[in-house]
Amino acid sequence: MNYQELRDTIFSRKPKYNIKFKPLMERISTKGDTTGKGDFSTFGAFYQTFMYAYIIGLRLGEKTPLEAGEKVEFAPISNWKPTPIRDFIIITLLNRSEKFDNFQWDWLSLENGSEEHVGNFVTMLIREMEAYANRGLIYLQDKWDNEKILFTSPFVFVDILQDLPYNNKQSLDIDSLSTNNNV
Amino acid sequence: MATIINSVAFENFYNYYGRYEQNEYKFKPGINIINADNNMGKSKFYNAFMWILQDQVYDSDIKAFADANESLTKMASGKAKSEDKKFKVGVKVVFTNNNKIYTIEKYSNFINRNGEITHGPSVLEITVNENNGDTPIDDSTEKQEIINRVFIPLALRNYALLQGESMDRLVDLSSKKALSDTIDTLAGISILKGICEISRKQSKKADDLYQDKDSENSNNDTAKQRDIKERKNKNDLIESTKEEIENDQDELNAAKIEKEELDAYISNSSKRTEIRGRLDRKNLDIDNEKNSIISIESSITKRIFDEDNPWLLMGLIDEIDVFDKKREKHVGDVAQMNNEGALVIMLPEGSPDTSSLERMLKNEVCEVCGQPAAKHSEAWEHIKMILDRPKKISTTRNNFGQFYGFLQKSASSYSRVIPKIDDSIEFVRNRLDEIKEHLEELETEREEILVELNNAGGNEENSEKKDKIITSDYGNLINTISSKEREISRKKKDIALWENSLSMINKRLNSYKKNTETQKYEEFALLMKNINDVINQTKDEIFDRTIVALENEANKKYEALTFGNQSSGGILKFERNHDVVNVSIRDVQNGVITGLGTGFQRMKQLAIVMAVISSKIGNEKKFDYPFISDAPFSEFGENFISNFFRVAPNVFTQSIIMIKELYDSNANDFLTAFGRRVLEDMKSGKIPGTFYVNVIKEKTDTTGLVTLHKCYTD
Repeated sequence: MNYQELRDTIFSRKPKYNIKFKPLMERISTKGDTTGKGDFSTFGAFYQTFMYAYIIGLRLGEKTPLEAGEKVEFAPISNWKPTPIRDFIIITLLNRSEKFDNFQWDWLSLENGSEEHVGNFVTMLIREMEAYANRGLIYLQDKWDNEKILFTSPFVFVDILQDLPYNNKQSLDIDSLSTNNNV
Repeated sequence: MATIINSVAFENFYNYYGRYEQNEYKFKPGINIINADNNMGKSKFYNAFMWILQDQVYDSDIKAFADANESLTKMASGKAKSEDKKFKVGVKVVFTNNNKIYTIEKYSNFINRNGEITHGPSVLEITVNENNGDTPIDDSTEKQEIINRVFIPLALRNYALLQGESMDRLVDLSSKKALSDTIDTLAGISILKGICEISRKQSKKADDLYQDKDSENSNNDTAKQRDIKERKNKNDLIESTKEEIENDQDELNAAKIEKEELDAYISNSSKRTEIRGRLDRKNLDIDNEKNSIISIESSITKRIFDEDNPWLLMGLIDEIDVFDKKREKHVGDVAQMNNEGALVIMLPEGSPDTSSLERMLKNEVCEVCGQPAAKHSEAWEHIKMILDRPKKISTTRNNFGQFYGFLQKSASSYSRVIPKIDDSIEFVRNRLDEIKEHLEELETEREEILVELNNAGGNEENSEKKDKIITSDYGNLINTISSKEREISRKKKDIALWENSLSMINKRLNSYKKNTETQKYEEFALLMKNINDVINQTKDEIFDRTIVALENEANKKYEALTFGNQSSGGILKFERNHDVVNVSIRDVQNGVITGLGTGFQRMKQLAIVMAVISSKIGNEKKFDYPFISDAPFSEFGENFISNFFRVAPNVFTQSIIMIKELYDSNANDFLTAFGRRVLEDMKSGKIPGTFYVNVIKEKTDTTGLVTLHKCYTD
């Protein structure tokens, strides 16, 4: 598999989320645009809400794998925009490939892996992505159910981000930065 | 006979939710202020009196008074209706008159059966406490007597209960009925007016008798008969023309008054145009700021995903740095691997070896966790994936480094942007705060312009077009006035001619010989005419004196009320014209002042009300009842209100004033600076009375509104 095929394989995937979050996704993605009345404005599309939820999970440093049950699939990653943000998200996943839940993927081993091996890697990468986003959606749903007042502010989605810890660092090989810097 | 209200209490009455004890206002002689913002129960308070006195309430939905018995459900507290199964809607007033304490309660009982609300009829209960003993009043006629004669007498009620707008109607001395009602109230001349009417009829009867007798005795005299007929014709003509003049005079007066009202309006027309221009510009500025706020607020979520500056990635700079390092390391690793031509793929320490993995697949059991791994299950596939990992040297490289490079390139600009995201968010927050502050300033300025416009006789709704219509109306009025004046003058000339020929006829008729009996009738008719003239002169004199007294008193009050104002309010001039009085404001040279603000016009009216109220007949003050007013100051500035508080205690023994001008919802004590000064004057005893502030429990729609109150003068 060459690098273009890897890219295409990743970008052709359609991540999923649990169907129980569908009303929340719909409410904060496309409907209820009531700006100017002190209310929040919505995200442009489902994939943006999904990326937002992913970042929440990442910042919390927590993953909740999708359980068995009905799941909702949406746009393939190739359609996600803005593309640099999408690519940033892939970067955060690649940063942790050696710490995936089910298997530890070394970049070097991927370099020589068979098509099937790389395919498996991509599947695991998407599952990781879904697990972070799922955690983020649980967090958002809790806010929506119990702190409704937050959503009367146009800054709600910024406030939520600013209140989160930076636990993503715990699963990041920060030492590599200092080690290399020392060298 | 003075009435002093000791307390007013509400039970579930409009937004006064809860029992009487929770909603009781205790009052004293002097000024009792209820300071409240819009929708916090001022008009509802006023409605309590309207319900007791007149079985009416002001319905703000239809902007008119409605039958209280038809409005009971509307009068019930929204909160009580939604939360209580059984409740009472009532008003209780305790007052003292002539050493007796009266308690009036009016109420209706409500039941809520699963959302269906029903109520009983309104009930009136009155008890009188005298010498410490309570006596309930059972007789309904007696109850009405207490309300209509003791509490606030019917004849004085117009002056005792005032709503902002009703003042215009009250002091309208330019209508015959209103003027005569006022004179009646002040001078009690209704008996004299009755005597005038009897004397006029008697005089006419005596004259008719004499004419008949004279006619009977001269049947054979053709010339005299002709003169008698002619005299009758002339008399009829003069009488009917006088009636016509009376009607013309009424129309002329109405037109003159309307013209006077428009004088102020017309003279301010160019000023209004200028103010409207400023108002339009201010409105435009306000709209622009509002649009900016909407635009910023609606862009906030978009900024989270802004391609160049994505707030989503705040604080995630390490992710890019780590990725860069990993990529660099990977490039090195791949180069080394190519050099060495070997690749060792290591599993973490303690991982099962190849033979273990093969055994696990065969036995369908994971030896790491001890769980079953049925063939082709997820667990089994996972073990197979580990077994199948590349273990030997591959001659072809996937070259994924290029993909990592592609990702790095795509997201690289964020390494510069991410550290600045917090500042960028702060900037937007501050900008939004600034615009909102500016908007508040603009709205305050707009309010000031509106007050200016109001003082120049305009309001936000009346447009240039209305000014044009009024200019045209003004022209029509001037035409009506001059044509009516010409008509009246012509008719008066006609009457003079007819009276002249009548006197000739009378002379001729006097020259005919009369018998003694006829002479006696003639003398009697003359006597009755003289009596009638004297009685009418007396009535006119009382009328004139009352007007002069009223004018003097009103000017004293007007001077006191407008004291300290920068522009002079002038002098009130009362002019009796026919049977009505026109009140105008004059300068010292007696020139009519026009163009004074609405505040002055209202003060003029208030001065007249105060004059009526403080007038005395002999030594007896006619008006000694509470003055209850809802929002009388909507057009007044601080100086006017301040003067009112100074003057009012000398005029009204007790007044209860519902007011919003002292209210500031943003202040901790809900008072404006001016409100605090009034309160200080009250606490120090400069102004006698009580000071209440209404507050609402929590912001909600009108159905759940609950008004609470605080007494600041306890």
